[in-house]
Amino acid sequence: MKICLHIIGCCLFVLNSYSQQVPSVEENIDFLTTFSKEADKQWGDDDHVQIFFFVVPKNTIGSIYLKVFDPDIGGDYDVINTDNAFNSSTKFSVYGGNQAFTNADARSVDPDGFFKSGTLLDTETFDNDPYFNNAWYNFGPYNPSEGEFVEQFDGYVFKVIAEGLSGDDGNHYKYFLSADKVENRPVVGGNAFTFEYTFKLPQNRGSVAHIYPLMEENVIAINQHNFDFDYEGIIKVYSVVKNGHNVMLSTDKNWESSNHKIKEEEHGKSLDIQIVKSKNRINDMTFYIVNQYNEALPFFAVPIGGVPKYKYKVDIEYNYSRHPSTEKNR
Amino acid sequence: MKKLFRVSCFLLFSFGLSVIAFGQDRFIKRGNKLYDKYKFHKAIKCYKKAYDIDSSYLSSKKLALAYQANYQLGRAETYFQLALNHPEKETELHLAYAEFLASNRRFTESKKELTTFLTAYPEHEKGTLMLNYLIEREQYDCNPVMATNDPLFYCVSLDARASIDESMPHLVFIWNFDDETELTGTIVNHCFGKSGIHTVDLSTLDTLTNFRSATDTTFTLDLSEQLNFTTSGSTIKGSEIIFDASKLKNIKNLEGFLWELGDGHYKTGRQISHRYTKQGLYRSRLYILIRENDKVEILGCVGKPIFINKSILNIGRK
Repeated sequence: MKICLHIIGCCLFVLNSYSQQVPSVEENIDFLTTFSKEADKQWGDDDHVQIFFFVVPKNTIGSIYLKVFDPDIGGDYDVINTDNAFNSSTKFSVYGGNQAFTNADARSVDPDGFFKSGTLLDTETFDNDPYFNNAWYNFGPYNPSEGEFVEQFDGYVFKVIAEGLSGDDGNHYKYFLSADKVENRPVVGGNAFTFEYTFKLPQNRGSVAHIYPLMEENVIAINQHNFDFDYEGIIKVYSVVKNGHNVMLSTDKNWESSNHKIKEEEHGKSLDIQIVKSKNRINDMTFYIVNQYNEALPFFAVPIGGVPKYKYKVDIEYNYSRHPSTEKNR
Repeated sequence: MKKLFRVSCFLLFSFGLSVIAFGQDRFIKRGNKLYDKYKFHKAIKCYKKAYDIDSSYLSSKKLALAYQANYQLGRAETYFQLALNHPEKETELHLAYAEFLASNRRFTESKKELTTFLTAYPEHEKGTLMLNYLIEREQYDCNPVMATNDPLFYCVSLDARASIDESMPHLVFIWNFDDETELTGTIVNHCFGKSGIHTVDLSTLDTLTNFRSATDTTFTLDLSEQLNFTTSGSTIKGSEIIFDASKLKNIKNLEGFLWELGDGHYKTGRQISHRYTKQGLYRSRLYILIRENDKVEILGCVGKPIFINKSILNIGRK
């Protein structure tokens, strides 16, 4: 476990700048999603809370900012539920300090117990406010050391909790870990991850969204759980040794799960879970994965070890012929 | 005083020219001696010095022939071009260049050079013989009796059995070749009508969900190897010439190599040596034999003209 997390720590420094944006470009996910408390679960959010962690390398010089794009719940991008009027609010809170990450409740897939662990650095509640519609809101500046130092990451970890409050609408938003207040300038070596992911899929039929859970060294089996996919396509798992394993698909407002064995070759690397849409409609869903000990595994914005590709081994033989044959054998 | 000065200048200029001419001649002579002893590399050095003193027609021609003898064909080509474009060019050089082109299988260009040469020397025996050969060659590269003029195909066999993911038994491999052929299966065979570098995209179809992946990976197929052989050694009468087919590696069901040497001799083997005892033009051929259905067949045949000379410098020697 320790070795694996050290590997993660090293990998964080070689990730590209897009790792600072959540969802990342590689994921091809439209938005993060948090619905308010009175929204029916059929919208795709199982618990109205989303917890994200941001890693800032310990040698980072200067302040950092945690930015939220379109934090309001109204106007563009967001989901209106009833009465053609937005009636909801979302609270964003930033935590650092001791226990922000290391408290087990913070890393649970359910927002139970002391998941708001650590030191509350800032909090802000947004409702239908045109000022923050289609705009960035900055939390910070923070000194990196205000996060919780986590040895395995060799850096400081900040936690951002998005909490749906009253109302029944859905908030679609993005994050950016920035080294600059005005511009979105990546923090070198930074990254972001979550243990339960609620997001809006791209709308188009045939689009492919990716999520990248990390397979730590001790993982020999995983149990994937997906919620409210509405059976709207297929979900496949790729890795260096998995060539598109099929995942059990959830229907409306339901959880579905399936077990998958993990091989040694996959340790320390990410899986590429591909979510392929077969319908042209808006859909939000939730995903989490646990290992054989029922411990949640992190989804990194940019896959640790790069985007995994199935390793093909093909023998190629060349020859000449006077009698051309084009054939298949199986 | 002025007159004396002019005379002195003239004498100095003339002396300078004589020194240059003498120096160049010295290097050419030394080069010829080395050439006659088959020390082509050293001969090239001498000719190069002569060329550096004065880029004359003679030094260009000598360099072209020496590079050709030393199998530095690119450089030989350069100096042939320089000599052919020189205002003092001799018509005989077209014959030497035609031989050079033919030995490199550039038959069309060779024919053109021979035609130029024979316009000036219509009765020239070797020139006529060579032109006839080239005309004959246009009809069939190899022995017509052997009937090997069918086109040759460049084939590839792709075996992806080691790529099967046992947890996905319903996955089908789809191969998209760059000639727009699509094949499915774990092992596929495909032949291209042209040699060269080709590509094939591999994707998969999950027959359980009917999901077809985008291109998973692309393989580069190097089918640039052509049926050919090389010759090396001296083309002097009685000298050893090596015929070598060792670069031909991708021949399935290979039975053997048969060499028809054009002087009535046949030999077998991937690499053979032969001595031609008489001066003249010989049509050497290599037949590649394969065994199919318990029967030996000719996969292909490649021909190459061999010009055997009395002495190495009997062409273009001034």
